[in-house]
Amino acid sequence: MDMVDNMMIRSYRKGGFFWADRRTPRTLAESIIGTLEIVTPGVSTPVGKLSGGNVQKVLLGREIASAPNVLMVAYPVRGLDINSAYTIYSLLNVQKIRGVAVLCVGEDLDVLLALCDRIMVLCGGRVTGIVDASTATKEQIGLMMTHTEKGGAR
Amino acid sequence: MAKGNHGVREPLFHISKRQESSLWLAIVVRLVAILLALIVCGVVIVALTGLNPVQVYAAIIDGAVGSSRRLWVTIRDTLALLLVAVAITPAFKMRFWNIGGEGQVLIGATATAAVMINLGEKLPAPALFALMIGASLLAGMIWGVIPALFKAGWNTNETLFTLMMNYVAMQIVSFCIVFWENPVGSNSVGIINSSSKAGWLPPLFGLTYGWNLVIVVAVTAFIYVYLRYSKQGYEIAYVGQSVNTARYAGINVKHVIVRTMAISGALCGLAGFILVSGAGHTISTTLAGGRGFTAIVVAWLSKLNTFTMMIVSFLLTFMAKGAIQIASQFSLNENASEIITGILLFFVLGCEFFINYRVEFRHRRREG
Repeated sequence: MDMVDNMMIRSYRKGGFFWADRRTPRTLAESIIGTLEIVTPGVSTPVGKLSGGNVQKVLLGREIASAPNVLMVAYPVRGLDINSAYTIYSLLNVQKIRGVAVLCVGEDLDVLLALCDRIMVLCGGRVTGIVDASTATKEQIGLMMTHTEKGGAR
Repeated sequence: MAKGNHGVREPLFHISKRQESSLWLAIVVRLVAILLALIVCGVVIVALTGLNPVQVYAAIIDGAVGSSRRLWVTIRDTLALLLVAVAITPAFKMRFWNIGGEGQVLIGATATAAVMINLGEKLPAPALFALMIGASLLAGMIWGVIPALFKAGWNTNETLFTLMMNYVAMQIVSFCIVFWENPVGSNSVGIINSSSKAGWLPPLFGLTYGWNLVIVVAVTAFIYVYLRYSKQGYEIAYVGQSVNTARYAGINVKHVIVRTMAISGALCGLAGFILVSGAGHTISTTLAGGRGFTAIVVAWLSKLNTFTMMIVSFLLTFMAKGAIQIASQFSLNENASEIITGILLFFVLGCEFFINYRVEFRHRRREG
């Protein structure tokens, strides 16, 4: 599956009756390579051969290109190097500024505190709290993650 | 020091996956494999039979393409094998292991024979052929859809299911032969409509097997285009790659499985039509001749590329025909052909390893 196939994944039904339209996704893929600075030999290279960071950029680029109202990402930078990770964060930020609702599932508290407007903490399948990221502290969130609240163990 | 430190020896060779795949390398390795196979075959032939291998190879070539009639028989059988291989390609691309090609071919052949025998004298040729083709397509489609429904609904193992359907198909053919025996009591159907030639594919532009050629080439081209350029081909590729990704794309996986097997089975059924109407003009449990299984080898060796399949199916048919020739000419056991084909396949499949992996031998360390 190369980049063009991946770009088509949401839009392959558009176009004529029988034929898959490959030209539009190809143009999209080429533009994404440019804007996100994806390191790849070309649009026809199988995506599996790219490095993890580039694969994430391809996927995120695809989802963003469909101009969603709600964008959900889970552990978007797991396993990525710091450079790619920050590229992903800035992409998410841009979406936020554009008014897209971004739901980001993550585990790095520093990142979440910096990136998010509000943080919802789950523990044992239950919501233990929704806090404003600009005022919350790491300790507060950490405690919410562990079945205890400020004031001691239960 | 040449051999490195004491106690730490580099292994004799180590294997690593190749990163870049060059076409040149693939072709050269395959040619070397074929050459080695021929040499080994030559050695085996000499060792087992004391015959001159060059004579044997000459006889193989003669048997396969030695005369115009033989050439056309080879082409006819290549077309049949190619059609089955092309038919199972969509299923294989979807990683639905359709091992039931044999049965689907037989069922299509049975449906064709049924129409030929019962309606051969009663319908004009165009209607007869339309009905024969339609019946073979439908029969093959049903035979292919049944395992697909079970896979889609209950995730049954399609390898076993399609394989077992082959035996059911053979029994159905045996059953039908009871009704169609000619002469009665011989347990074989004989040549259908031999006097009226009703239902026999007529020659096209003077070529006896002209229609075979047209039909098979058309289907091959269609499947190539279908898999590569159509929306459904895209869906098939994704279902084969990753079912979860396919679902994410909104593809109805069950629908795709059943639809693709309908096509695969139908085209195998069409191969049955070609075998009955365009070749043997008879029906028997061995009509498919193992093509359903050989086609798997063809499709897999060709990496599901329809053009490569043309070459591979021709080579395999060539070897089979040549082997029949040497069996009769040199009074060898018919299994001699299987031995040669087996050695050839061993080397060709084995060379795939060298195409994908690089083997490096221990080398001397450079002096300081």
